[in-house]
Amino acid sequence: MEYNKYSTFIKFTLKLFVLIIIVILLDGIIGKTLNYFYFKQTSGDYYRATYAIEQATPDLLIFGSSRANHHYVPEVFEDSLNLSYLNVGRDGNFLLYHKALLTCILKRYTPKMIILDFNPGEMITKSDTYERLNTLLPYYSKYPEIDETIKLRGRFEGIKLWSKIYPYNSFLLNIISGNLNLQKKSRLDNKGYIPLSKTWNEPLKEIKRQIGDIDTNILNAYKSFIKNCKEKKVKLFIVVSPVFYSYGADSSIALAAKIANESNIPFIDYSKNDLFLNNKEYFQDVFHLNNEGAIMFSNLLVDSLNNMKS
Amino acid sequence: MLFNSFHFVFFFVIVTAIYFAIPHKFRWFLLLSASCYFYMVFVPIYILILGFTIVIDYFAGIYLEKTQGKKKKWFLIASLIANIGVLAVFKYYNFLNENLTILLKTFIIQNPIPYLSILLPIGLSFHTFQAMSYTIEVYRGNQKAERNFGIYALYVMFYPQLVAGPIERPQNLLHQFYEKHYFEYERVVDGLKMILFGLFKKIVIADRLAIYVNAVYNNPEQHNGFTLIVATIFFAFQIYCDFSAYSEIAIGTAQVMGFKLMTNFNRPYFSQSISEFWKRWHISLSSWFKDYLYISLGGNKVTIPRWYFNLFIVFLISGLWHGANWTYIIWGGLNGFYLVFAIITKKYRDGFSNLIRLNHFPKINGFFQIMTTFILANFAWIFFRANNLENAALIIKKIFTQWGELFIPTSSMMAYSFFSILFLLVIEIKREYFNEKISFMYNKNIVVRNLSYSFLIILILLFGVFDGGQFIYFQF
Repeated sequence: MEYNKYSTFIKFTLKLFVLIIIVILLDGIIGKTLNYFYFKQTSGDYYRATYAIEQATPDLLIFGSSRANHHYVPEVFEDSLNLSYLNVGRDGNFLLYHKALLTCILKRYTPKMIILDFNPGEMITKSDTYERLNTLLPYYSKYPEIDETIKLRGRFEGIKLWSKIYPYNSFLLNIISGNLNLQKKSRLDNKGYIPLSKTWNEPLKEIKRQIGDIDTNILNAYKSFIKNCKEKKVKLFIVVSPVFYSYGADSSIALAAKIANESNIPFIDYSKNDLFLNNKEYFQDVFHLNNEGAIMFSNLLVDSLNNMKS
Repeated sequence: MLFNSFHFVFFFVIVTAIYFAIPHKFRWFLLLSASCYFYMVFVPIYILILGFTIVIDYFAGIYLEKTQGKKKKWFLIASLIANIGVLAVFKYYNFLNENLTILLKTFIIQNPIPYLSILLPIGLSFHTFQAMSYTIEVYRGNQKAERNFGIYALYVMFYPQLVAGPIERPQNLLHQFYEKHYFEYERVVDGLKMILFGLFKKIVIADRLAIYVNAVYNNPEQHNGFTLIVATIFFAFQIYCDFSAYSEIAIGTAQVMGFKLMTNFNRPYFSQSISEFWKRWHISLSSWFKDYLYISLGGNKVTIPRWYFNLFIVFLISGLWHGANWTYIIWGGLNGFYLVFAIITKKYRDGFSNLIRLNHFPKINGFFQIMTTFILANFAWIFFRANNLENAALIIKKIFTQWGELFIPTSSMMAYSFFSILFLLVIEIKREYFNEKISFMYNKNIVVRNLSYSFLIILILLFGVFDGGQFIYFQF
């Protein structure tokens, strides 16, 4: 570079530096504001996760994805097992998320019983497996024990998290509705259980079975989940709740059952239960029981749990 | 390497810094090495395919310049066969074989030709066309053959436009590798602005809309006509933002280093006819087809039926260029049909316009034409986006027969999608109609400029889809 070009370069560098300072300041201010309102929410999925991590002390916790959310009726469990209940299931969040959530919860208190709802194909890598861990981002650094799980999202995740806004990426409207209590008004939420009211009326079709390799990270999360519960002496039950179509031999279920058996953890599989298979009355869609189906399933499960106790 | 990745950020900063730090005579080598690395990040072995066509075209260029008459023509044909041959093997072989299998099946004959288990090299159609433009221009005498093998290889492999264009011409790009580029403040800053805006369009708009589009288009049987229309409109904006973003980042990246690449998009959705649309959409490809195929076929200097045929066949081939699938071919054919139909009906349409006095209200007339063009383009996009012809037919059938409630996966996702389109429209309308009057990123006031850059960066952090993945046009 020639001499006069140096001065151009210095001018550029100085202006770029000013811009970076402005962006850092704005990022810090907006990020802090979002952080404040995120943890001030009083309804919605985000609030429920924070509540589970920071405040809740029920005897029974239900973990899992949307199927956990919609399949475990609180009154059935509370009445039959005489335990207080909280469902921490979350739409589109799977084992990696739940292992992280459990770690945070167990650090604060020890529940008496945990039910982990396990899905067919749960351990197979899906295209969005790691993307979906964005729900943990607001807890980054506040709960260092889950930082490693968050970093599974990508090798540059640590750099992205230099930004104070990034943990709340795409959360703005949810934060607003969570603070204005809009979700509570639009969605029935009974201790985390969200009943589905419709009956499935779509024509039958061939189900796409989930095939692929077992994801080592998910497998390790599953093992850690079991290990953490055992260390804290929490009664853990792993349950595959009913599905509409038969999945046949599912590699994830087979592996999960094997590991559970080796660890002396009860593994209860309803995926081949004739009462539910191909029974439209009990389903809202292929994967989710409606309220009627959920009550039926919850009663069956509670009977099994009581039998195991006796 | 994806433009919307941290890997590229580091790569770009390092390469640009070294580029300006080293003497001019070494810069071509730096850019060539960087381009090789850039390409090899995808599938390393495919650099050999590029190398093969580069060697062929380099020597073809020299021989084309040296020879005359029939021999010259044969060198050109040999070069074109080599280029198109690579495309044929990697892009069209399995497609042709699949169709042969279907054809033979109707005669109850088993197809004995095996399928190839190969991945399509990223951006193959782009760099093949760029290489072909070189040999054709040398053949036509518009371009001198390049003697420096490294510079010629760099012309084909220049990393900003290697995998998705703009498809450059040798007259525009080759000489730039010999010119000494200094670190000029205005040029560098303008280039960075283009990169920033390109990233915004890709990460905030295109990848956001892609979530809904993919959810609907990958399961069209589960959605009604209303949802499919919304998904199609979303796709129209998604593909525009995705591809024009790539072009802007490519042009901006090259501009920072002192290279000027051709404009590839000029707000196509403000076109008042399909003909204008193709002058504003993927300009480097449209002009390639015009210069090297349409004019070679005789253009419009032939009989009227032949002219229609020329237009139609060019668009049909353009569709095939995009992908080895009947959906792309029909998409191309449909655009060709639009053009021919527009020419045939122009007299009647103008007459009708006169009759209802629409031409006395040019703004209203213009608006109607823009909307009509947009609807026609959207209808064609159905074929472009549908996973197969059956899905495309189902989508069209449902749009006309089965309406219902709009599919809303989450209200926040829909809100972000609508707002992102609205934001884009505001910017595009400003640029189309008020560019001189309102300016933010190019404002004379440094505070306004800095705030507008910061605003875009904050929007990316707040609403960007950081796991969006690759650009749509990489597959071509």
